[in-house]
Amino acid sequence: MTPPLAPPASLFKGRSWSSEEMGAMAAGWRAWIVRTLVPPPPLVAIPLANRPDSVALFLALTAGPSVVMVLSEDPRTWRTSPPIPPHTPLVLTPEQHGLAASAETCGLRPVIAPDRGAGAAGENPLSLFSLPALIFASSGTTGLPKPAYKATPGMFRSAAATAELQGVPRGAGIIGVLPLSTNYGFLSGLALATWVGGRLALLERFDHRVVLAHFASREFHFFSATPLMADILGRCPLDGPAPPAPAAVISSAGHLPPAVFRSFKSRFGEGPRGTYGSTEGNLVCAVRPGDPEQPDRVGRPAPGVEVRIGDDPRRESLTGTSGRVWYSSPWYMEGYGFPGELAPREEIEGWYPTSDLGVLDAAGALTLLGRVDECFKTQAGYLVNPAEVAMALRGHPTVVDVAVVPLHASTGASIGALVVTEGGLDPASLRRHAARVLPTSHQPQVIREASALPRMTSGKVDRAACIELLEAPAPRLAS
Amino acid sequence: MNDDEIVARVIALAARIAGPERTPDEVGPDTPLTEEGFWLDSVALVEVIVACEAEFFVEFDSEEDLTTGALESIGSLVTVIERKLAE
Repeated sequence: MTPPLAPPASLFKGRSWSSEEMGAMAAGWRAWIVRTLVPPPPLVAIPLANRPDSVALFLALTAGPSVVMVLSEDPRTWRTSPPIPPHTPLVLTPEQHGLAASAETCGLRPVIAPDRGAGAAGENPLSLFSLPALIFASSGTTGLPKPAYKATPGMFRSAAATAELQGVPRGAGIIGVLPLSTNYGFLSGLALATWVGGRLALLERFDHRVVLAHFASREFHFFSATPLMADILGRCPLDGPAPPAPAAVISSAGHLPPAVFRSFKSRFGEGPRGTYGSTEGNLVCAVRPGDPEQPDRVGRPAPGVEVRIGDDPRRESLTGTSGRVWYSSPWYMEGYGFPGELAPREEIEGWYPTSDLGVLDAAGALTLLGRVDECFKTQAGYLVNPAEVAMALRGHPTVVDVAVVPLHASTGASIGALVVTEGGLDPASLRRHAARVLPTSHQPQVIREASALPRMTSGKVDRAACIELLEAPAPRLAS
Repeated sequence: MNDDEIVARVIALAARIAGPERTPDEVGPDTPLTEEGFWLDSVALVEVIVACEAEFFVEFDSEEDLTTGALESIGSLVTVIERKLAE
């Protein structure tokens, strides 16, 4: 069980909210929720934004019996398989009222909270995170994202492990730049700050100047970045000497190129530490302070977690042998689905499969080598399922076939789409279509037309040939 | 440095970051940086900002300079750069 938790103090756009102020805001909204959602539904959804009001409303929801599905503010990301049950209440802050129409379109029931000053003071302190579970969308490996149903205590045990492994002390400052609506952003931001009783700096989007100002303030102990953020911080122009980085800078969501590690270290004194986890399993591995400097490693398993490599996880892994990554974990999700409708977890005697390939060294540290499926991490740190993007592009009236593949970029992949059309490609029209149906993180950067998709003798799409065609310097087709 | 020169340099930066696939055939001050223009996502916008800081030796203030409006088009970004150069 989790101990009593208090809202983290928050900092947003130069203004601070104390833990008490956050608690009062949440308590007012909790009283409104109790009056409004009667009887308490088994499931509610919330678009969780990196803003204090959104965090307070979310905290208010966690003090009740309903399972909470955490969404982003982009309705294009609200499609899951299975879909969110119809008429699920989507709880919105007053500032999010514009999302009500999208909620109705998606079959959800928008419920807009009153202005913060309008509610009566409710029970305070609240029993934060007493809800049974949270649901985050996982990228899945086929088709649409899947809802990962995760018991609340497990999530906090994972956050506690991060605090312990990275030496994050009580009351520490946390820089929360990753979206709280993602499992990793939530764990390394709000959950960690709540667990350590710390202060959370909220950023709605990555802004290197704001992050550098937080570094310079010396008030922050923990910062979790994507490789691209580390890259930008390591090379952006500075007006004067580089400020000291927080004691724990973590790199997640993708491969950290050694050159990025070195430039970050050269500027800030220490390179980012690698970590590995998933929406389903939370924290799996982490590089600890004092571990050997090996940017390609994502560290050793967290306490209580075991990692194995190969086809059969019941066999001990051999050092240096590559294969599929499996792990056992005390904080693995309960399954995919919604309250009362959970699909059983895929496992072999307590070992959970991943779609990652890896290898363990003699010290037990994991190096990731790729994936067994076709998903890939983008520069922005999102795991993209090409099947989902291809399915969306096929919805365009002129597209008859499409292959979506990762293209090489400095700190991750960019998204390429090779399309076969009927009547010729209008790139602007296809981009407009993609912008309507896909979140920005999943829209292709490179779109080219081919008369037919390259295929292997087996008939399968030759993805390597698609990549070659998309990366070749070619006459410009976009307009 | 005159206005046209700044516009041309910002366009060149945006085109380099967007790549030829996303760069429209006709580009000018009114070309949006995001949808219906260079189709830059938020990550690419950060790249443009960092590139502009290096190109023009300016430092943007995140709160005052980099508003949503400032990042709407080539022209709006140029306006911010001109203001910073005049400071």
